[in-house]
Amino acid sequence: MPQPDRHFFDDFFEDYLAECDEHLGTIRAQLLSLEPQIEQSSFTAASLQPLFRALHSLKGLSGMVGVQGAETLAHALESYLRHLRDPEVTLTAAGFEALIHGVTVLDTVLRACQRQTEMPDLAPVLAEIGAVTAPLRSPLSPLLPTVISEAEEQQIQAAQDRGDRLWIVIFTPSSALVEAGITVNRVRDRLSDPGTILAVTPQSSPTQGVTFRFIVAHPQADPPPHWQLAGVEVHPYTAPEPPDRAAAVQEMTAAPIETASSAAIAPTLVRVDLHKLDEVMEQVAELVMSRVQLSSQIQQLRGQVPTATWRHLNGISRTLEQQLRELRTGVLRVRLVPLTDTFKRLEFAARELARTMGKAVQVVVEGDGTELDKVLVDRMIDPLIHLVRNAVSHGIEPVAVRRDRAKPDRATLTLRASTAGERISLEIEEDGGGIDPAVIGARSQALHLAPPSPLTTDSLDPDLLLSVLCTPGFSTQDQPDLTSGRGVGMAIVRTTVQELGGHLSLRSTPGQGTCFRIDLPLTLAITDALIVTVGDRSFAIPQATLRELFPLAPQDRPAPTAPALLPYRDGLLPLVTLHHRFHLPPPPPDRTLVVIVVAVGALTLGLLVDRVVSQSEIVVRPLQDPLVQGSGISGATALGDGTIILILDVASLIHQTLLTPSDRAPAP
Amino acid sequence: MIIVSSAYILFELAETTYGIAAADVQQMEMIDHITPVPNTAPDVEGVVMWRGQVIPVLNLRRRFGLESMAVTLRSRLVIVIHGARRVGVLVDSCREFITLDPESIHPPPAAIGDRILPYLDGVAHLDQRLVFLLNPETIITHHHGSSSETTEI
Repeated sequence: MPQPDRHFFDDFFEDYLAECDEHLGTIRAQLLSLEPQIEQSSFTAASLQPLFRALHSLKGLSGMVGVQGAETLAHALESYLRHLRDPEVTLTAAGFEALIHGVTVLDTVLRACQRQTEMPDLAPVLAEIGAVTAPLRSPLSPLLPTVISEAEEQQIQAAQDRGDRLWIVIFTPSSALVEAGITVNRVRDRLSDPGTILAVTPQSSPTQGVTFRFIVAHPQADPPPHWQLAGVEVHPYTAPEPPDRAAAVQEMTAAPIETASSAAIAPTLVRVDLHKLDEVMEQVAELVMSRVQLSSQIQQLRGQVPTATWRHLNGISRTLEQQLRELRTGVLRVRLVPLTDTFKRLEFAARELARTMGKAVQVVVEGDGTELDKVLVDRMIDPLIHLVRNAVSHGIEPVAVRRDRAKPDRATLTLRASTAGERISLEIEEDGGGIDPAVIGARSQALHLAPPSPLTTDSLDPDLLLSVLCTPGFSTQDQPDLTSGRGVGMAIVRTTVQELGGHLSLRSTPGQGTCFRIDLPLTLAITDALIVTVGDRSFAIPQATLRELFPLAPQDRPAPTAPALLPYRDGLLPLVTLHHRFHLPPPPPDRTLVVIVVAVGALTLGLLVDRVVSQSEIVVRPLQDPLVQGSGISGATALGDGTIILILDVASLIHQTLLTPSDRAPAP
Repeated sequence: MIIVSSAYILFELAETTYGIAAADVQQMEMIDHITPVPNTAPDVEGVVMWRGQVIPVLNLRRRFGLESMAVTLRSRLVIVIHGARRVGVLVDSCREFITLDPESIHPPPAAIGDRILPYLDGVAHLDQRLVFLLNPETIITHHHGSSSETTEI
């Protein structure tokens, strides 16, 4: 347990993390927008304001729930930013890097908190931020407020009430001064005769060593001349509250606009616990099931009750179906969130890694307004970050190599999202070196991971390559490195995608780049499907992948020895006989079958089945157990009569058939 | 092997008595309809809907290399819990619920054979009978790469 008093805050903790997430989103976006200003002078202090405020809120929240790591780190970042508001100070590349690194660790701290795993070591990043902050402290730094006790504050107040002038006296001792007899005790004596020392704080700074900061009250308007000793500076006293005047002024000037806009937005937004939405979704799913049962009962009544009565019943059932569909869409919409934040996070991860690896990367974002179910977004974030980090560390070449290949120094990483029907596709594409199958094959052999079939230089089968990359234990690194893990990453990426009913695919051109594509259902719970039979089994085919269906007479069926292709429109349609695919008895040769044309992206495939039974709304239950995974089945659903049927994983059927050599036309 | 729990559920498989710790069993179910799943290992019987969840069913006879048997009225699904997983284990019949003295449990004899040995935690003597105690984890682990890994490609 990272925080001992966490149990006090359990109720707030979820809220805390959610709120921190929002602030982190703002912080990342704002930080990225600062990048063009590196080494450019003249920041407008106002441009830092949203960043500053988000960090400040995060710090405050973390303090309240006792997440010290986050508080400390946010404070350090805030201190550095505070200096940047000074128009004289420019944002250095090192400074920017420290900010990025700091925010990355801050994210790690919060995630460690959430998962109750071990906290990262803050010392290196704090040192990094300290190193960029420290030079900005002098010579002004002693004037920055330091902590003074309540008793001291009362004394200061009392002295001000007496009408004394207050001074800040800074003494910087050195060995030369000591030889000259000027020690801190001598300074102290001088200051208290005449005068009253109200507070004294030793401070240490990397540039000046130890300094002493006195707050001294004196009745005269000017500091007495005998205070003037070597190594002593005298400044008029400024009150420490509020902690930062500049900030306070900024806050005041910016505040009216901000409150006006937030007042206009806030009351229309409600934050809802995702579990509550899950429960609602589950109830909608049960309603859908009951409706399907009702409908099948009504169908059985046909002919047993007067026709008018039956029509009436059936009409009500139809209306109910329509209403449920709208309810379902409504609930679904509530669960959808735009990918904007996710993409910002990916962009952030990419830039941070590119910077540490000394690579130049430009991030292009397309379709970040695309919406996806919140649960899917949360489950996908780690796999996506992994793919992005892989793209930067393994995909994109070092600048020198890029020059040799006559590519621009700056690589392009594209993050792309788009929807089609009830599916969404996410792509992570870079214009790097591409994947060399020979290297991957050799590596795989060196690691004693038997590849499913030999990889050679002249075969670049993307799915085969992908399955090697996704083998647990596969890694191109001899030593686990910080950037891209220990060879478990890709395996987890693929497993996660499959668990969510999605499909991972790869296309890579040597020398030109690599693109990982993830196809996902927009939401998990309910979808429309076609129920078909294959032999004595029933299967559901998600409507989203369906293009059309047509009967196929026995004489038009390709002979078993011929390539499984059908003339279709202007070309040929690859055909999969599901009986064969699922090791069921072959269809009788004299039966007219049905071809179901399905497509994912540009890939089209015909599935040969016996019969289409019905069209139905189904409640998708994912098949997550390792015992039943990876078999061309994405899940299961219960029909109205309680029997379970399997849902075809159309995307993986298509990819396996069209992109795997073993399923292509017979080998030459 | 330290066995903490001493409550066991006994069941029959090919005239042999097996036991599994009650703590690892969520429920015993009558068998309704098992939906076969293509391209899985031979010992995976299929899936069933159990409390709104689709869970796999493992045929223990096939896993142990015994002759398969049709599902009868006495057949039961033992719902085994392991971490977040729930797996239905198909057995011939369920016998009883007993408490075993930890001292009556011995390591399994190697002579029992490689086919079954990996799945055993121990052997107990109960009156005149031998009871083979199963390890819930190895029972539901998919093994030999005999399923998806090879059929997928």
